[in-house]
Amino acid sequence: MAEVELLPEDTDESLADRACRGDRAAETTLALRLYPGVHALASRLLRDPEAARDATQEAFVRAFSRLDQFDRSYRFSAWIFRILVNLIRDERRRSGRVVAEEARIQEREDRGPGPGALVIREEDVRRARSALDELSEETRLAVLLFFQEGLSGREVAFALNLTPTATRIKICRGLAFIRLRLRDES
Amino acid sequence: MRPMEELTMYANGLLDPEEMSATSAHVEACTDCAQVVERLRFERRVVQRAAARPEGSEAPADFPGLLARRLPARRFSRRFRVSAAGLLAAAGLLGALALLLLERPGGPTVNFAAQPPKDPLDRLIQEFRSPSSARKAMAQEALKAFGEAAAERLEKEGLDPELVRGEAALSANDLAVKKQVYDLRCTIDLQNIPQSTVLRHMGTVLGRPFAYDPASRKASELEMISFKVQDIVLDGALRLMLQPRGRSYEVRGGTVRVTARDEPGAYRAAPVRVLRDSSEGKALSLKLSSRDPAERDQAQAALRGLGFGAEGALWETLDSTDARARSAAGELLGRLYHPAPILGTSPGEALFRRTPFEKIVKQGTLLDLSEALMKDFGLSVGFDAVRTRPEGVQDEWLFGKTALDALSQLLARSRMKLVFAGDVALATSEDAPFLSTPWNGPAWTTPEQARELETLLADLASDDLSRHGPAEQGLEKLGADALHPLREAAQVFAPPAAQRCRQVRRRILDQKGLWMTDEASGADLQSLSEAQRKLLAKPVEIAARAVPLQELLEKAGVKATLRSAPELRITLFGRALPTRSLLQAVTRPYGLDYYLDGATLVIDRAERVRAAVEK
Repeated sequence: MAEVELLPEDTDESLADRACRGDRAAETTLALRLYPGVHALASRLLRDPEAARDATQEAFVRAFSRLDQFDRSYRFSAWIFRILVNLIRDERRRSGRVVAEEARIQEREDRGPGPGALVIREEDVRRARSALDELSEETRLAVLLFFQEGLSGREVAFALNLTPTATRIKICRGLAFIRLRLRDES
Repeated sequence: MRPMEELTMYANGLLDPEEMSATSAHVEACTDCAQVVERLRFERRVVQRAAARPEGSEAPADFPGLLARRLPARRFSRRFRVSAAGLLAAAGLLGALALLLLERPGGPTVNFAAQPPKDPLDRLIQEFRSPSSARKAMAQEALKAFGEAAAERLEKEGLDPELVRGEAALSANDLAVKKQVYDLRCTIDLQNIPQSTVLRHMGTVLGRPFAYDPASRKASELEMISFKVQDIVLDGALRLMLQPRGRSYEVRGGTVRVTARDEPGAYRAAPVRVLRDSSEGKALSLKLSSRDPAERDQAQAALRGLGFGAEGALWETLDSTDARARSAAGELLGRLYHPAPILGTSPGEALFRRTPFEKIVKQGTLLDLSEALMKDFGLSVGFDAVRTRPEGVQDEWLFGKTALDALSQLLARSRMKLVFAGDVALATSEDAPFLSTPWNGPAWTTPEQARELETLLADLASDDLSRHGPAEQGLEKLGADALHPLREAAQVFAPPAAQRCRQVRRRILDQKGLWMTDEASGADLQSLSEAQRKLLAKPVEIAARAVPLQELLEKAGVKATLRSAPELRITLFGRALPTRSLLQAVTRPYGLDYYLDGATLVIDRAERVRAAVEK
């Protein structure tokens, strides 16, 4: 019986399936498609262009070597981010570098966003970016995966090896921190 | 006021579906929370911009080569690698399976429904990046239907969100609709009625239904308003009604959509993607280039029958060298990504719509006016014998741009609405449990509910019997929201699964006491002879005011056996009305139905007709 194609062609997941069957073109397409996101996240975590490039490459090598372990209940991108995060954590553990603990988000009452025009100002974006860099690594990761890479809360939890509840709390706290910074500076 | 953490999660879509709907209900009712949510959504956009990928994240040119060198060559993954002993065992298993299949009279079973990928935007973004200009243009059109969700996604992908947002994104079709909104004039005088009724009336004037942001639909339906405007353009009327209520409107995908004010792109909806798994898509799409028109039509119908299962093949066909095939593929894709009902207009409704009323103003009782519509314009009007008392309404004025516009406005003032039963415009009470089903394509709902429905429908269509029960329960729990998707699924899925969809749909209709006005009658499900078809097509004339059903049928010259005879006194005016439409209008709104037994028409309770026809 002819094989029934379950997914429309050329989604990340169908490319992963084809790569799994030895299709090198699919592997390359998938790698080129996901490289920018993986590299951007590695850069923001490692803050060293060379280390980011190496980590990105290693994440792809690991992912493509273990395609048979890919859990198809998640998007492929969530899986490769999980690999990248584990890779960086392992490396830090080996080198004895301690990852910063959860930042103390000011224990002030979160009064919500302040008033103002609903027009995005470059100044606010710059402040938010700077606040983002102040977040603890795990919270920053959760915020970046959610907002930068468009993963769902469940996928962010999978990528970071956290529970969904812990993940959404982290995202909320990250946002609260950025909000306070924006209010303070305005 | 809800806690800030909860509102933050809500504004960012982090809550579970149940929590989402609970918070949504609160936010819609609480002005303070609604304002905070609006600010939080704005904040989200700031954070999205702040979190955007930095420049220079693209893969270096040598990356594929580096990767290839580091990866071991492999033909098959470990998952598929088997030993010789394994191959032998598999061969034995296949042999046994083949024997089993040969013994089955119905042939092999195939899992006819698969679950589509999680995010419908994935495919569209991929096509948007395509080097093919035809695919890119189609993807851009389809992306517009997703409103701000598409714009945000494009932004994240480093693409220009303005391509699907704002005036620049309007297609020629959208501009034509917008021009109509600026050109058409309306006069409305409706007191203390749901806002949705006014919008529905405006949709009648425009000749196309309005779509609502699913998140705000409920509030629109419930809010009671009084609205009076005289001879102003539709755009002005819409603004006058929507702006004080914190809403606005936009035209996208040929549809007028009601959205949150100042955030016209906030519309959040997704199609319920029903797909039938099939390897036929490519072969069928090749037939779209056939020289034989019948073969082309058959292929088009079959591709439509695959639902989203044909999507991949259709995108590829957009690159065909044959213009007819490209056009057909574009039309089918447009149907999949059309965010509002695609109207299927009955001949009766079309007649009402094209009968001008601009210069003719009539005055009289509602019944006199209805009879005048029949005599002067050949329009058929009936009144719900159970839910309305039209004889009590005196001295009404009938005015409007078209007969449909005039009559629907007149009825709205008396808390009535118009539904079409065949060719009869049936006036019934505003809250009658009748649903018109102009839908001809995927239903659009909130993205969360769309995903839930897709999962439940895939389970219902699965070969795994253990998944059917929970899926049926889940769909029944969704109630009326599941009716349109179930209808689509019954058209897309293969017979056994389609039958299950029809059964679940029937149970929901029965539980809720709903009647879908274009639901097939008993006779529609029969294989009729030529003589029987002629009998149902025979035109009749009738002008009846509160006449018992049996007497009405006799007056119209229709010989029928009434096996169930509720005390109905029917009011109906019809000229050249097909017998089929007459029967539909005097049976279906009252839980009755009809079928043909030889040359005899039998009218009975709907469930007994169903049982008789199925037997």
